[in-house]
Amino acid sequence: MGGSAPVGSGGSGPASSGGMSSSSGGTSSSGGTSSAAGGKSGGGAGSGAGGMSSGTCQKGQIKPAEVVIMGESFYAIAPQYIQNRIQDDARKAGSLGANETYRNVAVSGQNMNYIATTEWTAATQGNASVKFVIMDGGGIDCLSGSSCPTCGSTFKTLLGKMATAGVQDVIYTRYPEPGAPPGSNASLKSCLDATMPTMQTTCEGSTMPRCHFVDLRPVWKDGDTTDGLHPTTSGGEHVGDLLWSEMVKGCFAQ
Amino acid sequence: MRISWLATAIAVAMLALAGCSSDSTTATPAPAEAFELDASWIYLGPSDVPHELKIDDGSMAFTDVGGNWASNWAIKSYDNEHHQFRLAFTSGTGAYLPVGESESATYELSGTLLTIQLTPGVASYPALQGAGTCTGAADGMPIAGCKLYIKKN
Repeated sequence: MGGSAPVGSGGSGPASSGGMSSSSGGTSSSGGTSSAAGGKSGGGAGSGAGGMSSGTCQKGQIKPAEVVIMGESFYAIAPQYIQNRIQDDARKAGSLGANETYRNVAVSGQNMNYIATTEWTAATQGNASVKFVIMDGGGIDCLSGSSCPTCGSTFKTLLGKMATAGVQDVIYTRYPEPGAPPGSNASLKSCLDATMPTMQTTCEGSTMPRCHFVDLRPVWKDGDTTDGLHPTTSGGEHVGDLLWSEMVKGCFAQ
Repeated sequence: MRISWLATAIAVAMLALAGCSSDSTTATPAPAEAFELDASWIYLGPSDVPHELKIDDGSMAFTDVGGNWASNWAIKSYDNEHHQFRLAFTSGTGAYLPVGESESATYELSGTLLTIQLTPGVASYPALQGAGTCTGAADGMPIAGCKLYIKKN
């Protein structure tokens, strides 16, 4: 089970995007999304309930193992609330089998360079096929210093590798506001505010693979984190539902 | 002949130094070097639930950020040079971690990133594997007893 493409589009991915997507991220606390740039929604986007799938997406275009999650502890730390929520939504929609999972190569504590090199190597080890990627990056660089001037170029290099490997679509997620309550970690917020616009520009400038910048800040509420960095159950639900709605909208791995 | 003279000179010098040393027995001992890990740390993974680690004043506290558990440990010894420390359990609430009466640890500090490899008991210090990631190089799987932290601002 797995991927999909908009019927009649002649290929996978958003019918109209040409690489751009919902850079504004979600709009509501329910995990819904805003932009329609991702193409046909099939009614899933904006619902926030998860589990809704597009009736217009072709099924089976992407295998679960071809869906890869990269990044650091936001996606890696156990239990992986976000990945689990996306998978739950996908199973409810009939897009993922009961015992199937996506591939998560995210490693806690890793900077953008590690993600772009070691994790990408792990994702493609043994010539493994990768078609759709959900990722973040740059947060550890910010936690370790006060800026990441190389994050954008490192990300661009990674996107180039992905293009060569045949990746069709990438969702890059902007971190929620750091701290508990959200936004209270002023130093980290300052670095992310300075770094993320470059990541957004890099992402949205990529047409092969199409890169979709998804801002997690709008769906991240009090109680979604307790340590100011990682999701709680509710944080995983909000982020997972938002990402699934983006996947539905873009017909990614349906 | 020259070697013999040199050996005598060295012996005399050592005796003189020993004499100086005995004179200094009444001096105040140099203060112990502070533990380089004294700080608050945020857990990054790989396999435990999110928690904070506070190290100061000879103690170590692991605290669940959700408030469900906590454990307190006395730092019995530490070695900044060899990156090792030993803990003795003091108190705990809830389903705390780590579990045991004592722990031996080897660590690596890289910038603000701290990798700790713990093992129960005091028999020996564990080898640090997966420094900076706490995952196996070959399979990417979490390494048991390995904890990754980043310094809290």
